[in-house]
Amino acid sequence: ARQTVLAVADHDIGGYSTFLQSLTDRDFDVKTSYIKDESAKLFEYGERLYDNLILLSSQSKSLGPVFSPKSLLEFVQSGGNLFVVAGSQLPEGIRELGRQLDMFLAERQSVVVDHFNHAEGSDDIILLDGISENPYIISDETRAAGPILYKGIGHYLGPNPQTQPILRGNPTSYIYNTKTEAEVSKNPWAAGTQLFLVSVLQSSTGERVGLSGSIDMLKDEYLSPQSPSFSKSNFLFARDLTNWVFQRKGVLQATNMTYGKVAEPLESRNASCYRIKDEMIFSIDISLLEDGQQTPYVADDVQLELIMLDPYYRVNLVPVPSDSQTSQHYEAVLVAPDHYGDFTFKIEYKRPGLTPIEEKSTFTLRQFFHNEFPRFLPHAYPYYASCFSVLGAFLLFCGIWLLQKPAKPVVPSAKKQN
Amino acid sequence: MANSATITSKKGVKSHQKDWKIPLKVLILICIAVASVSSRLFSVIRYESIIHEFDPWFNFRASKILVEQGFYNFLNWFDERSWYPLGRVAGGTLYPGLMVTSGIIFKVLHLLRINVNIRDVCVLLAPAFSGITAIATYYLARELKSDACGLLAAAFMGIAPGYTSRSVAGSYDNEAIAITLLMSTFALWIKAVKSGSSFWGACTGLLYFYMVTAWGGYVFITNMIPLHVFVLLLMGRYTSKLYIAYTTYYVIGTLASMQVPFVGFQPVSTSEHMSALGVFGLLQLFAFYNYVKGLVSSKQFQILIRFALVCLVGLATVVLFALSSTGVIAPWTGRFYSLWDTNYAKIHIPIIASVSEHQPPTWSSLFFDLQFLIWLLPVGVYLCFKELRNEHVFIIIYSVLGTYFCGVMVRLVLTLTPCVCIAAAVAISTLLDTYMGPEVEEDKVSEEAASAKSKNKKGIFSILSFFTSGSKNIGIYSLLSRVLVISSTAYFLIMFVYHSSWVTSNAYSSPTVVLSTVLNDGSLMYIDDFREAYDWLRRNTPYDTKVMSWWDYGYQIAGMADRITLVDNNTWNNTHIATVGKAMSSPEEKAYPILRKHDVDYILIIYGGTLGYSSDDMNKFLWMIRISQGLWPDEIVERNFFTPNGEYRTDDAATPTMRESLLYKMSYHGAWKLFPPNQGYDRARNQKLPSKDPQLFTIEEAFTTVHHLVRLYKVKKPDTLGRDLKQVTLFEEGKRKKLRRPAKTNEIPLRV
Repeated sequence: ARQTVLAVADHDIGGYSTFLQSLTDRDFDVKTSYIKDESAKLFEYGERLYDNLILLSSQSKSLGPVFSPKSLLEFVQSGGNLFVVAGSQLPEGIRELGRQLDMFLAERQSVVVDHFNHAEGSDDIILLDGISENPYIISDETRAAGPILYKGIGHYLGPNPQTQPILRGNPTSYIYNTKTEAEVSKNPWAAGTQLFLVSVLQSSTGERVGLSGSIDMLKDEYLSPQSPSFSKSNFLFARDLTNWVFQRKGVLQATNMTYGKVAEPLESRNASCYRIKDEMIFSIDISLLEDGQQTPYVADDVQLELIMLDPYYRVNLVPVPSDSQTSQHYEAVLVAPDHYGDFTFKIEYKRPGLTPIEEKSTFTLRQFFHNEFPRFLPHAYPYYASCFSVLGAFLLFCGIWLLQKPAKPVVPSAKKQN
Repeated sequence: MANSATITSKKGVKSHQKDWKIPLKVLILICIAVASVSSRLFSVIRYESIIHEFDPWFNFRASKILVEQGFYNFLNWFDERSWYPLGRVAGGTLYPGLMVTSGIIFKVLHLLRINVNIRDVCVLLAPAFSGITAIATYYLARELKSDACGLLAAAFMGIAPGYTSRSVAGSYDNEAIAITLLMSTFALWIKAVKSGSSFWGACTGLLYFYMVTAWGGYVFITNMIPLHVFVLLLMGRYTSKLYIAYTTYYVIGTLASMQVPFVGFQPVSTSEHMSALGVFGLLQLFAFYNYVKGLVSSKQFQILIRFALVCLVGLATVVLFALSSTGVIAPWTGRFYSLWDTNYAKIHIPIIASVSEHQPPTWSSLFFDLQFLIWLLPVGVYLCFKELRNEHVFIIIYSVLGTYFCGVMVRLVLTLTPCVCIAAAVAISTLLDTYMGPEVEEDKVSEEAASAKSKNKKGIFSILSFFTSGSKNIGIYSLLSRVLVISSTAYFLIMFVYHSSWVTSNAYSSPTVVLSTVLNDGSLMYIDDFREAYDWLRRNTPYDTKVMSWWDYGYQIAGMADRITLVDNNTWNNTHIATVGKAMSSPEEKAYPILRKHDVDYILIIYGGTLGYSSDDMNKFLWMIRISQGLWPDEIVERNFFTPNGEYRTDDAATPTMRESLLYKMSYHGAWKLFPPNQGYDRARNQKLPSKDPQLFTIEEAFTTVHHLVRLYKVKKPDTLGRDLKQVTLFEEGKRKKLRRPAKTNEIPLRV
């Protein structure tokens, strides 16, 4: 099914035709709207209307209730992907949204300046080459295409590990507040390589958020081949970024999680109860989405845990050849611990640029039943011998006692009477 | 010729008396059994046929497993829905006698096409067995004195509150049938000792086995009978009868008891069982001693005895040290230590001290449970000393042992009660014999007239003579004295019946699951909040929901709500209980990882501040703190929960540690809504509510019952965007994270 995209802006959206057309070329169903338009809404009867949302803001001080930070976060947490683009005149709502995402955007009317790496004749159109090395987000083709043209605002990131910087500032760049600062910025909001221009966030349930501080980098002025300011690297960067944020790339899927005894037939696996010391096998299929195509994901660092409060096992799953063209088969063989209880098989696989895999399944390990203990042990033979010898001796005693003739009773001799 | 006629007439009268005594005794015993059952049905009449309190809910659940899945599934039952995620080998850690008994009754009734529910069998099992207990007590007590004494003991036993407290309808606990088995075992043991028959010894052993399957208190029998034998040996009363009785009982009983999975090899590896084994060995020595004594001359025998004693003592000492040091003989359990040193549990094992049944009783509770029988106990024991046959020695030992242990632990009034009933019966019976027994002496007028009068008087007093063991030459002859004493005794007996019924009705017939209170107009109001909460859980949550609560409610959650619990009343894993206590005592940000690690979905707490219910969780909070402090003394400090003045405060004077704890927040969250503004009050602790409503970040209120007694909180999932849950809550409330100025450089983490 084609994914739907809502592109909403607080200004004329006509200036982004090249960008939007590239989305349509990639089989997205794109709809455009104006922020204050009545028909612009994210939910209807509690159901999310779009798969992806692009929010472009360049002048408004407020985005209204439909696109408030709370609504946007609800959109993301209900499964949608969000791409926010805001310039120097960004509204406070987007700053609040950024704070919730651990991305701290500079104040309104701030700009990123670089006095050494900038376009000819302007300090605020800067040339950036700090592109992320993550191959799942930005392709090698984009990295080789040259610097990114950037004009807008910047931010810094908090400690949330789910956030990733995609485009960072040059060592000589900094944020300058045009409203409050005079000739020189004594205490910039952010500077150098810790100044970030484009960042993304990967949620633990798979949704993605992208944040860009530059409206201009998506305009036809830089993306259209016919424009004198055309930048191929900007075009490729926008393509890669939207591919990733809208989940056409870097999506891991785990399917067919199966566990059971090695000797157990496949259809009866995943039972709720197994026994301690059973030899068990675990298997799972993992696939990676690349440009909308499912491909096998091959790695040697997918780790399986068997947990009951603490891990009893932590083993790397082994890729196993299989006939599937879309997924890679992984297996692990282990012996169930000598502890009964509720155990959980758990895979927690988190890598930058990939959606996390968090699969878990709980089952019970029970104790040996009364008729499952080993029997007739050699060191029990003395006890067997003693039991049966007592039985034999008893029978022998009874036989002798019954068959033996009783002795003559001793008759006391009568005393002679004188 | 006249003499012959008189003799014939007397024989006829005696024969007639013997004929109607037996039906009368049977009738009396039936009446006692009916009274026993009836006095235990108050709760069924008032509320309904439900299982009471806490432990009976697990026993009921186990009985359902037995009836629905069969005996072997019951025996091998691994309960993965309790003690999550540890689970519990339930079949191997319970005493199956109670469940098997009700299971058999259930099967028999269904075989007879009587379609009962297993729950009704469980509810009414204890009353049914109380009637049998009375009959067993009769058989034991009549050996001491007379049938009349036995009947009195049976009547006392049937309705004494000390016994009804653990055997009312719905008290489906091990004690429901264990006291029956206790008295039956003792009665059979006395019979075995008197007869010296291996048959009765074997019966004693088999019934002991039944007792072992039913209750952990079987250790009382395990030590009581060998102590009886030991005292008899010290008194120089060794006989071959005693030898045959004890060896038969011990061998059969011990081998049979080892078939119970929960017992296993304990009879040969734990200290509680060593006295029985020791007496068994001692009897062999006595038997050998007597045998050798008959073969060897006196002088050689003395030398042999000295040599044997020295070798034996040395060997025993060496073996004992070796076995104890290598751990073959397990040391005594903490529960055993607390029977001797009453402060042991409080210091070392707070989980045991936290159970109210494990506290020493007050004198008033003894009177409450036994009324005037407790005063007759020493009288009865004294009378046993006068006779001092083997069975009297048994009762004397029983009274000493029972009195001591019941002085240590209030729960053991239950084991003392039979002894008190028997001793009191001996005393009352002796009193009645003295004042009712002999006829009034009269001078002879003439042979014929005297004969006629004598016959007439015998007829008049024939019924009264049933209660005597025979006429005596001495006694009380004054009619006024007789009437006065007998009527006083009758009054005391009537008051005992009244007291027993009142206590059973008012104090021991509450299910605890359903509460009741009297309103201002005298009508009764039922408080059914527990079942309301459990019903909500069962209807509104998935089957695999994990519910965390204090262990008091674990069995009820598993039994009524049918949800997975973390801890329950089995209390077999102190670390797990301490973990729950730690979660309750810690601030939210420290409790949340514990909840997540244990996959907790809901938290159930009891808050009695609105109703004035004093057994709520805030009043048990100190035990949670102490138990978790035992494992994490650096993290949970009991002192920090008290004010500097040493007060336990929950209002605005509460300490920050108290105010931040998870249980405090859950208890008082939203409690102010039930009161007019600024008038919130905690009726359980008689303090004002905190003026600032505690705010929750990691959990949210899911359900609170109509009387605000049971509260359920849902544990939130972690935020998918990686935010702290506190930040999420503040954001949802519209509070913005203020950040107007650039952050200082050292506050920003370095991102690569």
